[in-house]
Amino acid sequence: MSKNKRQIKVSLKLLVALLMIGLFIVNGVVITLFSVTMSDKSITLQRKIEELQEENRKVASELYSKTSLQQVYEKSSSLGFSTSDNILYINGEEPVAELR
Amino acid sequence: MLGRVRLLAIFIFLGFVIIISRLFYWQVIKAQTLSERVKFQHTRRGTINSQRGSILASDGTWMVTSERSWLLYAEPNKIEEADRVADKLSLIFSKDTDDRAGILEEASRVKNLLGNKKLYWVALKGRIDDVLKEKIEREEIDHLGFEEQEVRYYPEASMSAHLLGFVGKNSEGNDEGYFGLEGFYNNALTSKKGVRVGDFDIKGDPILTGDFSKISSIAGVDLLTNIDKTIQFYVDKNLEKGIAAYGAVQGTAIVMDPKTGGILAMSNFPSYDPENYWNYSDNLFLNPTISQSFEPGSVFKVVAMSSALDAGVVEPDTICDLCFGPLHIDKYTIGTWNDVYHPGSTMTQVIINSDNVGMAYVARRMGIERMITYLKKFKIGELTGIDLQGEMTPQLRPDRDWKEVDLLTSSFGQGIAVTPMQLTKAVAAIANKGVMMKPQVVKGVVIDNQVNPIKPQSEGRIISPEAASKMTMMMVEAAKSGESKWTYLSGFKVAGKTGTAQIPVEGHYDAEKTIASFIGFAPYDDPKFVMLVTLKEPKSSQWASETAAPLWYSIAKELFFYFGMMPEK
Repeated sequence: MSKNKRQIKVSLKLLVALLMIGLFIVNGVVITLFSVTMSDKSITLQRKIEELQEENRKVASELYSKTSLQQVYEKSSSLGFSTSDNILYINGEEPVAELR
Repeated sequence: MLGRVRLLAIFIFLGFVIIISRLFYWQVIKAQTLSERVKFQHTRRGTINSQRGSILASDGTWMVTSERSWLLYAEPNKIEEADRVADKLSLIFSKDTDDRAGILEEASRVKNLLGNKKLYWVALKGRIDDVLKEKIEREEIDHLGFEEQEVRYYPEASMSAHLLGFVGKNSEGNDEGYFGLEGFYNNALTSKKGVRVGDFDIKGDPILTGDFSKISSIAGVDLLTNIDKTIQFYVDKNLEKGIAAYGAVQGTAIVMDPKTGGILAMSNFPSYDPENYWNYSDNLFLNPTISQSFEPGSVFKVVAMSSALDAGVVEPDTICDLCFGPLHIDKYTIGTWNDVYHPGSTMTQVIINSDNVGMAYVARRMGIERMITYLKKFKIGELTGIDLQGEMTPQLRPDRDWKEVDLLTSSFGQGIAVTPMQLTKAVAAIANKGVMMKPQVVKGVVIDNQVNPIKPQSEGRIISPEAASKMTMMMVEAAKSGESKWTYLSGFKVAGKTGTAQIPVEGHYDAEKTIASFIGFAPYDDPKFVMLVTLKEPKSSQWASETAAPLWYSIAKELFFYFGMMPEK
């Protein structure tokens, strides 16, 4: 009887030790997985930031050109627009055109 | 059985002890040494770049900004077929594929650079844009690389080059602003680089659990200017046309808001391209409107007359009792510009006829002391304080050296020198009912998209509102009935004055060469702008009434429309 008890005690100790080792290994795996996932997320975000910055730079560059008065003038001239040489100011009291 | 289990447990235990003690040895005792030994493999140090600030027009659009470009470099000591690489690159660099001479010249330049096998690194070409970079990369040439660099981009090309200045390299090889706004606000525009140190894996991705430290970069601030791009465009376009039409060697124009001192436009020709400034002569970099002085001639009569009105020595209807003929002072004779005399002229007629003898009469009524006091009140001989690099001022003659002839000639703008900016500032004070404003190009500083305004700065009252008003009405009459009346735009409430100044050359005045100018503001009762136009040595006519005045009106016509100014009935 006492021999069985001792055997059970030893088995229990062994089981606890194995469980501890198992937990240690699982813990290591979980931490590694967590770290890898977070690292991957961080890299993805970093790349996204870089992409957005590049996109932003391209849009800004386009804006610089599109808001250029010089370029608008060149474009409008090529399309046949020109500024009026003579501006006529019409007196408000004089009927010029009338809707009927 | 139990014995075997015990033995196994002891082995496992011993195994753990060995592993743990070994790990302890590597990770604790030898940690420092090993860490330092592999640090260079995963620790990287990088620079965080930040852009130089932009210069914005009053509507927030860009006049100058910074863009990314690339510097192409090579490692000549590793390149084996330098000639083949040079030929390939010269074809890519060439903008015109039919320009054989240009391509051969470029190939020879690149060959020379690559030919020196002792060199580890050589810069082949800067200011390469993304498209050209991709083109070069497609060729897959070994031992070439790109370094990121910042270049200034001018969306409006060479518009207002003198006002903006340019960015060049200083003696340490760093970017530095020269002339204009780039020079004056160099410290504010300059960005500060940051540093990033961190652990990265073999693919160059950051290690999450590694070390990471960063000193952020500081971007340069943006400058929001008073410059109205539309007005600047009108002024540039018309001034360039005017110089060609009248055969002048140089022309300047300033448009200023007299109420705030804000510079709405500033233009000079000949000019230069700030993006390629190295292709131009150094003397083109100075801004003539703030760095070049001239004897203003008759436009200066408005300063002398308004001083006399403020001092109370004359009124618009005061009769000139000297105006019947030429005036003789010592060995000098003062005559009118056309040798026509107007006996019994009122002061208004003196201004209308631009009568030098009439102005000599005014100067005599003023006296030397009072004239000097008013010239100083109008800040003649002082820097205007405009926020542009390179401002200079001619000095006023020392008080003790003034003689009667100096007093008389200064009243019609001879023997006295001003810069175009000083003259504009003085007349703007008359337009602003006697209150002088400091000329200002920048109206705000933009930090993190927030505009921090720079308030207009008053330099105080220099003449009474009554004197300013009387002078304004005299200028209105001069514009309507003076020698430039043929170009007057009826109904637009213009106050203006022409000036044709002879150019002093080696102690005498050149009979042929003149500086023609016209200064005016509109509408005279609530001025939206004051504008000065000067033309140096016009060939078609030496008179301002036939050159500078029509040019002034051609710009003003566009401004009237732009400001929504309607003619009176």
